[in-house]
Amino acid sequence: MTDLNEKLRVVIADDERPARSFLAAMLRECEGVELLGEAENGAEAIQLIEREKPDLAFLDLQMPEVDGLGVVRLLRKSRMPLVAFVTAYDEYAVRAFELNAVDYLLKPVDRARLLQTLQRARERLELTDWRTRESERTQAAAAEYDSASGATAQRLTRIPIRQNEEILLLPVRDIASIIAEGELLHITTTTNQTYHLAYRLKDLESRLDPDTFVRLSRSALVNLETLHRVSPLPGGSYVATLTNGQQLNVSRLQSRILREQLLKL
Amino acid sequence: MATHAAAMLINWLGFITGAALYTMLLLMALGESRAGSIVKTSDEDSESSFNWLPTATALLGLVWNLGSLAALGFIEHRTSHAWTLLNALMYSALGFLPAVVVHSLLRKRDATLPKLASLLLLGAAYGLSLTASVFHFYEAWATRSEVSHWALHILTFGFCTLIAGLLWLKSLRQGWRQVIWIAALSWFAVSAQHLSHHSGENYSWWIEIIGHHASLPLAFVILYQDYRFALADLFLKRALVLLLLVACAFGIYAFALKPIIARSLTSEPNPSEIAPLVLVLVGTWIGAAFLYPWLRNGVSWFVDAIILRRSNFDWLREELAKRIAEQESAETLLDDLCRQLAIALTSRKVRWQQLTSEVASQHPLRAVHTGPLLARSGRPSREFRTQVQTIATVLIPTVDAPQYQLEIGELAWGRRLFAADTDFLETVATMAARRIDALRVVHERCQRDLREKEMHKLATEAELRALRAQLNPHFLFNALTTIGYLIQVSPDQAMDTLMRLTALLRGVLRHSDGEFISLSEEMELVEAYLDIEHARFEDRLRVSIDVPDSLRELRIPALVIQPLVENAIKHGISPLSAGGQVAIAARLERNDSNHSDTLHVTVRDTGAGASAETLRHARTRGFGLNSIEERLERHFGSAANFRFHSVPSQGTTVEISFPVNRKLAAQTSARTQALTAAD
Repeated sequence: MTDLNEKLRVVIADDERPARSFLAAMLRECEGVELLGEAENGAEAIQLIEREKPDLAFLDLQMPEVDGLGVVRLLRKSRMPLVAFVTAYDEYAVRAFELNAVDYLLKPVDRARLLQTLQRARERLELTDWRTRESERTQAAAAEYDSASGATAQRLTRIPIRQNEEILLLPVRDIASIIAEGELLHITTTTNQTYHLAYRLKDLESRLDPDTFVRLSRSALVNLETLHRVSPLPGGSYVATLTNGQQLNVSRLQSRILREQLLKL
Repeated sequence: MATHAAAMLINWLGFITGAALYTMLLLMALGESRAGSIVKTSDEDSESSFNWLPTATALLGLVWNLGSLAALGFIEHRTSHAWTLLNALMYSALGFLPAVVVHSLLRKRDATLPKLASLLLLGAAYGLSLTASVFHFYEAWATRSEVSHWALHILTFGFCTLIAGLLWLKSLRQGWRQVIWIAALSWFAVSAQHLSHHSGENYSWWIEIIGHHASLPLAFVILYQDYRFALADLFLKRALVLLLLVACAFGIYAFALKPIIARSLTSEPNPSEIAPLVLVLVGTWIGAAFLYPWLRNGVSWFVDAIILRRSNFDWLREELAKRIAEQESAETLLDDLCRQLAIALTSRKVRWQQLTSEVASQHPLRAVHTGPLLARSGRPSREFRTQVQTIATVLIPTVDAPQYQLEIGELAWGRRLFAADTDFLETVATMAARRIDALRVVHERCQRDLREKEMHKLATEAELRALRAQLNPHFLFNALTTIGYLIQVSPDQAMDTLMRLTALLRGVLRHSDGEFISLSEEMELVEAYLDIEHARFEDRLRVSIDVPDSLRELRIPALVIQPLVENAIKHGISPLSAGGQVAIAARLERNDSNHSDTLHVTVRDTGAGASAETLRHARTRGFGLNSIEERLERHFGSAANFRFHSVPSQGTTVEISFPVNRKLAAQTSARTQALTAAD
């Protein structure tokens, strides 16, 4: 970061080779830019970024399994580069990016616009705390995008989860419960394995099937199919027991809603 | 001698007037019973059988008046035997008159009267009349005298008692005042006759007149009571006008001309003096002629406004026009109109009904139709029929169906609709029709504007939706990016892809929703689309197409296959790093029973697939597939079929099937070949 006079080190992630190559060719023509590598999908992108530690990453918004925002969510904060998202057309994303001062490019990428992005990146790199700032900006944009596109976003069938150096794609139907602890989610599977994920419970909930995943309390989401027993506790609240043996408190308000949902069956 | 001549003149006039009045009453009664018989229903026998009483009254009055006229005409034969018998008949008729009047009063007015008392009174009345007529005939037969004084005594004192009885019966009831004085008048008629004979040789011409013409006021009263408007329209107005005219002429003669004539005739008449005289006479004559319309208007106003308190039509028309203009819907307008007309015409009930189309077409052009119209005007509700008899129907001549009709229930006091009334009704009906037309036009325009706006909105939306659905921006920008890349690495391939994109764009824009194109045209679009996507996804997208050439001329709705393919790529292939295969197949299912075969088109991908829940979620979002299903259903109804089958991580299969016309396709094919051959 001190090497200001050195070249801007960039990576590209896009699942479509023509788009990737198009951008790569354009970047090679720009002065003061070093292209460190290209990734074909989100998981590859994470590996590439953590290995090469680029200054700037061009992330395609639509990629199979782990998309551009998924990459941002799963990256270690200490490895977070500056990010420019690339998308063909997405109103919600563009709005979320603009609101949070996250840079983005529209396909097909315009050379002048690309130069602006590069210039802005150089300026941002001059700040000492740019990494933290960028991390905050992109997380905020991701959250914004999730809540804005909630109604139209596709439902998740698998949740990408970071496990050390690996990206694990956890099938949603294997999840028994999701417990929120601040910005961190603890996911417990039906086989009692636990995973951690940086996501807002509300945003994740909006991308899950509401008939399957219901709230037990402000901080707990449960897969109804794994719900084994709901027993009353002294004082009017309830405790839910899941098929994996997990026990969760049910808030008074949710117990009523839960009862309705269960009685329906 | 002069007084005798004057009395004779008044006798003549009186009997003629009497005869005219009773004739009128007879006609009214007969007309009413005819109308009644046509609309007769099971529960109005009492009403229809009642009509013989006024008829009888009229006949008796006629006999008296015509007989008296005859007596005046054949004064020299008064002593003959036939004459005395005729005279007895006349007096008998006069004697029955009060009995019939009493009968009609007892029957008509109040059913709650004590039955026994009524019967007794009735029996007494007829008994008296019968006894009197027996006396008359006996007198005529035995003594050949003109009239039986005993009979007159019996009538006078008998009916005096009867009227006292009537008074006792009905004293406390409302509306009986008229009844009593009609009865009293009839009694007076008889007793006046009696009196005139009592006066004997003491000749007094006014007693003579009162005696002979006492039946006149009776006729007036009955007519005024039951047929007030007819009396006014037919008789009163004309009589009054004539009377006034005669009075004017006489006045002018007496006060203006007589002195002049007297002066002129004193000296020797010479032409120079006679000329102004003739001038004055001619002037009087012309003046009287000019006076006539003025008098007529004045009298009819007097009769209508003062005597009958009939509504002033001009004023009423303005009032109604104002009210009609304020109404905002046909129903409230007609309701209000009915209320107002019922008051104005003194009708017992005015109501409206909507005409069914066939009745409306049968309806005559005339707006107002008086008389019993039940056969023509469809079926007035039973409730209305049984309660109130419809005397006229008024068509509201609106330009468009449905038209309406007013039904005027019978009017009070036996009033009929005369020319002025029907004119008025016609005017009002036209006014109402114009207002209803105007309301309808406004309503229609509003609706049309709304529809147009809606259509416009829908059209715009549909266009946009069509563009978005067929060519979603993702696809378009990604295609452009691909072309951008190809320009750098392979300009020829870039040109190719650009041309494919152009073809696809043209195809999507050209074929509007609902248009039929050939399967080969659709497949061209699909192939153009697949080429572009293949350039983008490269070997991640594998395609197989199995559409036999024999099917390529079949006509299918435009853009039903391309969206399926696009959907397969968007949701099946692009979410997978490894990509997958898209297979398009078409086959024809022969159906020998008719000309319509069924075309099955299957689009299968080996892509991501979707769980049922994800699918449901996706489809509620208004996926392109919904619109295809809707369009197929719109074109082919239940003959079209749409099947969707998806398994997570295995892929999705969509099959559509719909009828196609083999014959039509063959013809099109032949024509294409012919054209090709011609070229």
